[in-house]
Amino acid sequence: MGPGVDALAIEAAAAEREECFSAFVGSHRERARRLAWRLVGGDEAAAEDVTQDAFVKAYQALGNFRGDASLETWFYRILVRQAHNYRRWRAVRDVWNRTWAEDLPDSSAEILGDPGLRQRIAQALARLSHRQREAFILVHLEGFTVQECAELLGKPLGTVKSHLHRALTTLRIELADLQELIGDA
Amino acid sequence: MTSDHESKLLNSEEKEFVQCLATHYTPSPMTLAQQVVFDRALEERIAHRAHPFFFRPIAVITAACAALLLWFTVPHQSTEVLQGEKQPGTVAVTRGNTTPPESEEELLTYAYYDPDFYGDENDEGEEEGFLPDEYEALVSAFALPDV
Repeated sequence: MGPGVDALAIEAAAAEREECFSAFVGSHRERARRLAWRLVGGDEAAAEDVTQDAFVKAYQALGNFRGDASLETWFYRILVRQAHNYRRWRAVRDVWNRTWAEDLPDSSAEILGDPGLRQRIAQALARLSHRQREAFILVHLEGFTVQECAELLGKPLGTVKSHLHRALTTLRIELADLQELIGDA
Repeated sequence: MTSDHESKLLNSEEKEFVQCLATHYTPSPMTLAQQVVFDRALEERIAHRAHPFFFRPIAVITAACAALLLWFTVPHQSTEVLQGEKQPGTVAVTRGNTTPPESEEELLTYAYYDPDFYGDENDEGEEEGFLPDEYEALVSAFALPDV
């Protein structure tokens, strides 16, 4: 095989890779953005940023992907990590600026339509530990199985189940009034 | 990836609660225009980060230069203390007077304050002034040994 043939093969492989990646982005864009949105606490711009960062990282590391896990699990693991990093960075920024208490309305505030409701849910989720929050969002809100969630978080199955149970218990207490309001409506 | 809900984990009430959260805590879906913008931005980001290694040495060299500059400009107080030498240009800051005065004369006195010449106002209370405020606070809070 001559160098010209090699170059053609590399070009073809690169083109195929681009095509596969575009298809992957097309089919997972919406879900990835929704998951990121939920993980970062309902911030549209941050969700888009985190999603794009995850796609870029996945693209750059595509050559290292060995196929031990499914491509989707691998990608969503990157996304969850990106969202976690974003939250950590934001927490530091918020402490620095001392704006957290000013930005978030009181948790006992009246629910006024969807934005208020979202805010309440976001606040309740924010009070969970990050593992509990991630497990709850992945399994109960995004429909991943517990097994997939365990693979994504790199935690044993039992640990994830424990996180899920604790998260649900805490959220039901935190959002008890919300449950009643929705039940009445 | 399956979208099968983990129904076995939840009873009917919990299912309803979780369903309610999933319904209300979700972003509005992207429009076609937003999808196009998203894809373009993603392409730009990928293209922009295609040569990250080109910029890394520049960043490392800049950081190293800044560190060197800082090293040579900031006086090394710990070395001075070890050598036991008095530097003429060092600013003496006493506990009772930490804000610089406004008049030029007082400012010069403040800047070139020499405790050997003027007498240190903290001479009598040297033991109190020897430790930083934080340590004194800890001593009082936790009854630490007075070093």
